[in-house]
Parts: sequence; C-alpha cells; structure tokens
Amino acid sequence: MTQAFKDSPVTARGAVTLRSVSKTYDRGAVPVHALKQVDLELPAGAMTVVLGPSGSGKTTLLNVVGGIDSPSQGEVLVDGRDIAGDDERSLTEYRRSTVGFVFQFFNLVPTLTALENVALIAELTGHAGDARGVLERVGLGDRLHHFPSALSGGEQQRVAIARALSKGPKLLLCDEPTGALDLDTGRSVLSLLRDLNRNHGLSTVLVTHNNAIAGMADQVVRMRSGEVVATEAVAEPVEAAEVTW
Amino acid sequence: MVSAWWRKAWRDVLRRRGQFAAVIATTFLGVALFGASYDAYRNLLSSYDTLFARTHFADLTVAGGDVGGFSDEARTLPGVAQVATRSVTESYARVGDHRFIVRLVGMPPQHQPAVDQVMVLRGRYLDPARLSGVLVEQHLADYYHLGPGDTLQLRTPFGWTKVPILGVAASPGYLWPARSRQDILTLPQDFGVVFAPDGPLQLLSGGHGREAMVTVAAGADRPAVMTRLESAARAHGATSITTRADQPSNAALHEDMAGFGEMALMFPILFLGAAAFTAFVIISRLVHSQRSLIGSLRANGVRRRTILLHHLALGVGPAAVGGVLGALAGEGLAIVISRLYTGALKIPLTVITPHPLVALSGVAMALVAVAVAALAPALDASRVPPAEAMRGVQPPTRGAPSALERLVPVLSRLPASSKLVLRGALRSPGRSLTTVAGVVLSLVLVMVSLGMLDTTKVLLSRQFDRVQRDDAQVYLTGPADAAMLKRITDQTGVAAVEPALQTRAVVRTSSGSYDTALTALRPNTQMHGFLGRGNRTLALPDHGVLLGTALRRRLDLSVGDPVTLDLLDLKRSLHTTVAGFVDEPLGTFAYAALPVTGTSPSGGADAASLPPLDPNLALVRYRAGVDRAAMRQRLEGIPGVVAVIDTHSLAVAANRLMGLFYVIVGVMLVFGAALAFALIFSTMTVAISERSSELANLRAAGVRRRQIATIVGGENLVLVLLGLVPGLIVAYLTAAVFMASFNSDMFRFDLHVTPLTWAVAVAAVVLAALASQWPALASVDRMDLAAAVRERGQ
Repeated sequence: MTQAFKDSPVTARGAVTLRSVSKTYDRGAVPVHALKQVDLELPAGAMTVVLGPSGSGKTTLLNVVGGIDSPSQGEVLVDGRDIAGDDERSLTEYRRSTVGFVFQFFNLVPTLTALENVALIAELTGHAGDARGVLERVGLGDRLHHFPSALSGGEQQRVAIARALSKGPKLLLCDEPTGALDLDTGRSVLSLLRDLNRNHGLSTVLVTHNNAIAGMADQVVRMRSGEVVATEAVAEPVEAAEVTW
Repeated sequence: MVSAWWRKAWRDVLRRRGQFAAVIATTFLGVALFGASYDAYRNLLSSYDTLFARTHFADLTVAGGDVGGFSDEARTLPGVAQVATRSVTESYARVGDHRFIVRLVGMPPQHQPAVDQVMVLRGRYLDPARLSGVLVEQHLADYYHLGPGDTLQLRTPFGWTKVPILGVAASPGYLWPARSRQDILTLPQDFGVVFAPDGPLQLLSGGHGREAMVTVAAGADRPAVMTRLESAARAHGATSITTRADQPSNAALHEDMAGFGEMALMFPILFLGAAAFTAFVIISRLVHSQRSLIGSLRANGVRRRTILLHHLALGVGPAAVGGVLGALAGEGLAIVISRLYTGALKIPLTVITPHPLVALSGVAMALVAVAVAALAPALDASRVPPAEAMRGVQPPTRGAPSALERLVPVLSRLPASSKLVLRGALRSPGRSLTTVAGVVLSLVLVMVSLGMLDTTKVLLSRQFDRVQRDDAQVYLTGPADAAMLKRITDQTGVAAVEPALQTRAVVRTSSGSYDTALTALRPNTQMHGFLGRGNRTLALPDHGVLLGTALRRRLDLSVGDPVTLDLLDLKRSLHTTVAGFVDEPLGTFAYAALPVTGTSPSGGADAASLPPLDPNLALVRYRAGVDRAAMRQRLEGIPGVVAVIDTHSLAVAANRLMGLFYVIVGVMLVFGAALAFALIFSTMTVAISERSSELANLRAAGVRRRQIATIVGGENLVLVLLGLVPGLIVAYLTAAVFMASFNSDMFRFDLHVTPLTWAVAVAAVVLAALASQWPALASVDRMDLAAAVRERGQ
C-alpha cells in the first residue's frame, strides 16, 4: 500500500464508504441477496480490486457505487454524500459528474470513430473536454479516425477508458476490463489504468474474478455470496507488466 | 405435451409481443379489408345479376329507325330469348307546386313485359281496367312521398292531367335514376320515371320514341348474337343501340362498384406489405440475438431445415392468426357494407353469399407475403456456423460515415451527437428500408383518400362555377322567342336570360356513333364556359361543334374532322366539323352556336339546309343573394313555362354527399396512421433492443434520458424525413392512377391535390411516427442498466 494511499483522508475526492449496504433482487418466488450488510471503505486515490467468483456480488457492488443500481438498505457515501436514497434523476447527475465506467465488452458506438466516441460523451455530459488529448494520453493518438471494427480489442478498451476519462470523473469503475482480452493486451490496459491512478490520483475500483490482478492493487476486497470476506491492503503492489494469468 | 422447441417459439413471441402484435394487426387489416371490399364487390354483382335475371333486363336496347321491323327480325335470330317493344318519351310532371321532367316508359297493362320488367314494391302492377293508372319509380316516389292511391299530374297535349298512382316500382334500368349517360347526376326533384300503359302513351307521343329490347338466351354465343343484333339494328336504320353495359344506370352502378375492386387490390398490397416488412425486421433481430443459441443447437446436430422452419414459423404463425381473424372480420364487414350500399342506393334485392375462396385467398396472401419476408432471416439462421456462434463472435457492425456525409462533406463538421443520429438512422439497411416503407405506404393510403376529396371538390367547382354558369334552365311549352325571353327577364331577381336549344343527338362518324345531347347557345354566351385541355378557355365557334374530349378517342376524332349529329327528336341531321374538344368533369356533350339548321335525316351532307330550329329552352342567371326556391316558383308561374330546373341544386346535393366523403377520408387517415405506427413501432423497438448495451453505456456515463430519447427519436425522424420525398411522389402517382381508373365518358377525375392536403398527409404520418416511438423510448427508461451494460455490444 502506498503512503499516499495510507494517508488519504476518507473525505478526499473519490472516497467511497459503504455502511450496511444490502441489495436484494426479486426474481420470481426466490429473492436473490446480491449484497448482504456490506461495510467497506474505498479510499480516495487508491486502486481497489474487488475479487470474487461469479455470483459473489462484486458487480452489484460496482453498480451500487456507480449509481447504476440502488441498494435495498444501507448508506453509500461518496465524498461524504449519501447517494443510496437518490432518485433516478439524481443518480444520472451523479454518474455524469463523478463516475467513469469501463466495461468488459467496451460498448463503443460502432458507427462513430474513436475520436467521435470520446467526443460524444463529452458533448452529452456537458464537459468541454479535449477528446484528442485524452486519446493521446491513452496511447491512441494515431488511431483517432478509426471505427471500432478496425480497432483491436485492446485499442477498443483504451477508447472506452478515454471515453470515461473525458468527463473528468473522480471515480473510475472498471468491470472486468480485461475479460475480453488476451494476456499481453490485458496487461497493457491494466498498465494504463495503473498509470492513470498513480499519476492523476484517480480513485479506481476494478472488479474481476482474476486473482492475478489483485497483486497490482493498493487494496484488495474479497467477496463471496454477497459478503465481503476480507479486505487487505497490498504492501507492495506489482507492476501490471508482472501480472500474469 | 407441447415440445420444448415450440414452447421456445411461443416464448420468443411473448417476449416480443408488441412487435408481433404489429404483424398480427397489419395482417388482420390487410386481409379484413381485402375480404370486405372484394366480397362486397361480389355481393353487389350477384345482387345486380339476380335482379337483372329476375326482371329480364335487356341485353340490348334499340331506338330509332324501323323498330318494328328490327323486332320482327330479332325474334328470328338464333340465340335471342325475348324481344319486346315499348314507347319512351319525356314530358313534365307536377306534384303539388313542384314541376319536374318526367320520363314516361310504356308497359303492357295486362302483364309484365317479356323484357325489362319492374319489381312492384308497393301497391299493384298496371291495370287494364284503369288505363290512366301509372306506376311511379321508387326514387321519385320516395322524394315526393307518393304511394298507391296518390295522384300526380302529367303534362299532355291536353294540358295538366291528373293520373292515379297504382303502385311504386323498382326498375333494372333506373336503379340509378340517370336521365342519360350525360346526365348521370340527376336529382328526383328535377327528374323522375313513371311507368304507364304503352297503348295510351304511344298515342300521346304520336308513335315516336319506340324502343325494342332484346335478351340473349342463356348458353348462347353472346358476342355472336350481339353482333347479329347490332347489324340488324343498323340495317333497320336504328339511331341508338345501347348494350346493357352502356345503359346509363348500369354503367353508373358499375363505375361506382369499381371502387370496391380497386380497394380490394390496394389494401392487401399496403397492409400485407407492411406486415411483411415488420416480420422481416423482427425475425432478423431475433436471429441476430440468438446466434449463440442457434450455433449451439447446430453443434448438437439440429438440422438446418429445422432451424429454417422454426424461424419461418415465427413469421407465418402470427400472420396466420391475423389472417384468419381478418378473414372472419372481412366476411362480416362485407355483409354490412353490402347491405349499407344496397340500402343507400335503394337496390331492392341484396344477395349475400359467403365466399370461402375469397377468405382463403386472403389468408393465403398473408401467409405468402410474410413467409417470403421471413425467408431471408430464416435462411440466415439456418446458416449460422456453429463454431463462430459458440465463440459468441458477432459479425461486427462496420462503421463508416453515412451516405449523407459522403454526399455533403460539410456534414463531417457536425458534432458527434449529430453524427450518431445520422449514422444510426442508416446503420441497418433492412430496418431503414422498413421505416421508409412504412412512411411510403402510409402516405399512399392518406393521399389516395385526401386526393379523392380534393379532386371531387375541384370537379364540382369546375362544373358548377366555370362550366355551368346558369342558375336555372326554364323548359317551355313553345319556343324561347323574344316575347318569352322578355317575360322571364322582367321577373324580379333575374339578371340575364339567353335562349338555348337542347336535344338528344347521336354523333356519327365512320368510326362509330355516340349517344349524347346537343346544346346550342348564343355565340357569345355567358351561360356556359368552354374549357379545353389545361384549363384553356375556348370560344363557342360560329361554325362547327365542340365535343367532349372523350370522343377524341372513342370516335377517333381530331379538330377539323367531319361529323354528323342526328337530332332524333327534331328530325334533323347536322353535317358539320369538329371545331374543338372541351374538357368537362361531367358528361360528354356537343355544343354549337345558334341558330341550328341542319338537313333532313334522309338527306346527306349536300342536302339543302332546313329553316333554323327554334330554341326550346331559356337559361337564366339570378341576381346575387336571391331566394332560389322563390325564383323557381316565380318562373314556373310565367305562362308558357312548364318546368324550371335549378342548376345548382345538384351542386348543393353533391356538397351534402361530401359529408360521407369526409367520413371515408377520416377512416383512411386512421388506417394510414395505424400503418405508419405499426411499422415504425416495430423498427424502433428492434433498433433499441439491438443497441441496448450501447444505450445503457450512455446512460451509465450520465447521459440523461431526454438526451437518449432525442438521439433515438432523431434517428427515427431522419428515416421518416427520408421517406417523405419518395413517399409523396409514390403517393401522388398512385392517387393519380387510382382517380384516372374512374375516368370515362361520364366522369373525368383528374387528380388535384391542394397544398393543405400535402401538409395534412405529411403531418399525419410524422405525428404517427412520433407517437409510435413512445413505447420504445419508454423501454429505454425502464432499461435494466446493470444487465444491459454487461451485454456484448453489436
């Protein structure tokens, strides 16, 4: 765990606190308890990896923190403000101003170029961002005018990351960002995420089932059956290039 | 137990019930409207045929020349069933203060004639013991509330003569009580038919106006018999030979009925086309979304044919449901329409026959249309490579600038959100085409109906404002001489009077002949406008005749060609030339300048001219704002005036009928909007489900709902706008063809479309398109973001 991470106050930018958060889905006759009384701190500026097998609740956790979903119970404090009781409109504004998402399958608009995909989000969320600059920052300066079908998986994921960054979020939430990528490509994406976290202090939460990725985090949260079973600080996170699976 | 395979199909349909409901609805409408219009058409034909058979309606009517000689010869010709003769003449009648033109049709008083019998609706047939007793045709009887025991007055050489009414009858020759082919739209207040004992009528008419009617035997070689009869008629000097098809009432009824036939063609094309497009889009999307599943099935040995048939069934099943329901509804609607129609026209017989073949044809058309549309995606499903589908590799949507951006490079400077709209609209050619098709088909339906309304309004305006400029036609006991004209002019409220000659005329050339009427007017007449092609105004020539434009083709005539007009009632023939052609909405007439001379009918073109004929009619124009009913009474009170016809009463009646038109147009507008709604609803819903992960990602990034709605709605609007231009062109052309199909020598329906109609058509379709997107946009609001963002994008 880095010193910066240890010293960062809970109320700094992008700090998240979950208190007794539960989420239950009604799926016909049998309710599904996706989260059960979760208490968790996600420090500002840290990279947190949430690990767990399929069905452990890690994606639900990400969705609740990201404002895509609301908890059935509990508090979700983001920089001190509880978003748990927010209505749909407020959650939209929260996501607009605070959160950037990166998903496993990129979800780019296939009819827009890389530059246009990034510019689109900036336009629609009212952020006068530099789409070109952001894409250069993620190493795609020479692929600006390519459509997604002409980009590799890794390049598409970089566009997705650039798109998330274009809004200047406080929190970057990544759901299996390397799930659709091979080892080398996955490493390069992880390396990019780590750089963004370290060099720009961007609070990052990365959900994965891949245990190997935990080594590069500042904090690892292990989940099973909707509960947090362990939270560990990583003393010396490894570089992304050293991660292997 | 239902197989799991069919259970899957059922659940696939249930999950997309809105979309499949659109297929069912459009199929239902197409088949129902086809069945209703075609069955109604068949029922009406059967009703007429049954009535004509029962009354022995004449196959041929011959007038002029030696009618007796023709009848004798006709009886000897093979294939002839019956021959009868009668007198037919016109006079005037009076009921209370109302005077009108009456056609007196002779009937044997002892029994019904062998040909052209009547159906006695109330009272009894003629009575040989009461030779003054008459039957009144039903339209006349209904208008004046006449029945058995009442009387009416007939104008005879002895003055006004009261005659008792023995009964009310319907006649096959007057189901549509037209005075002639040129006077198809006559009102019962102006013209009626009375059936009188033939013997006294013959005396009254001085032996003129004799007709022979012939029926052809069942099973005979009809064309051959007709040819022999026509040849015999000409040999006996007949001046008028009218087949059943050309008989004015029958011709008018068939023209009217033709509309049902047109609709029976148009509706299935529009609605089943829409159903086919919709099915194509839905099943294509279904296949796309289930590629992995299909691949795994194929990997496990499921045959291609099974996959193909399964996906075909997804289209054909809903089409079958809609088709069967539509066929049943169509049968019911046909009965309602048939009864309403015969009731409105007072057809005394309604034959309703179920036509199972029509219903089956409708269902078959629906199944074929949708099966053809579903075939492409079903084949695509059957060809999904198992390995590729198992890997979950979706064929990537290839990105490229839109065609519009390539055509208009400056569009590349648009912001990304605008480009998203442009490119999204055209991203799936099949769906784009379906949306555009929905717009086009809807515009066709709306434009045909609104165009019909506009055209009819223009027709009436042209006829009664620009062509017929008189307010009244005054029929006289004597000639319209100076003294009579002065008596009319002196009446309060009269602005202008002109003499005119109006008489039946047969236009004869080497190519054939045509029964019409000649109207002769002052050379500089103010009572009639002569409109040529393209609304050009023509002058009434001093020499020669103006003819209705239909005769150009019928008699192969051009300006300058010689032509003979046989003025039957006046025993004159006019040898003249064609001075021009008039383009009039109603009828095909001949016009000449007064005075009309002519020669003896037996003389040729070189025969000496006879003295000029006296005008027999006065045309009157009223001062503005006068009470027309009072004017009519005032004019009828002038000595020597026997009847006054208000020219504009027909216009008033026609405008009242427009109310029915508005109902029809309203119904068509609703259908058109429903068509657009169904198609665009389906394509929008499919488009959104296909892009759920993409849209969910935008929502996850904080893009507001309204912004998503604007993007998706904007794409839809682009397609609707793209469809408008070709749609308006196709709609206009279709409407023009539709209206032109009604053109004949009796009517000219040249399509007119007002600017307001263009606007209404566009507005109706755009509004329907906007409304149709709401269910789909509501589904965006309800989207499970958490689930959607985890889907693989497409």
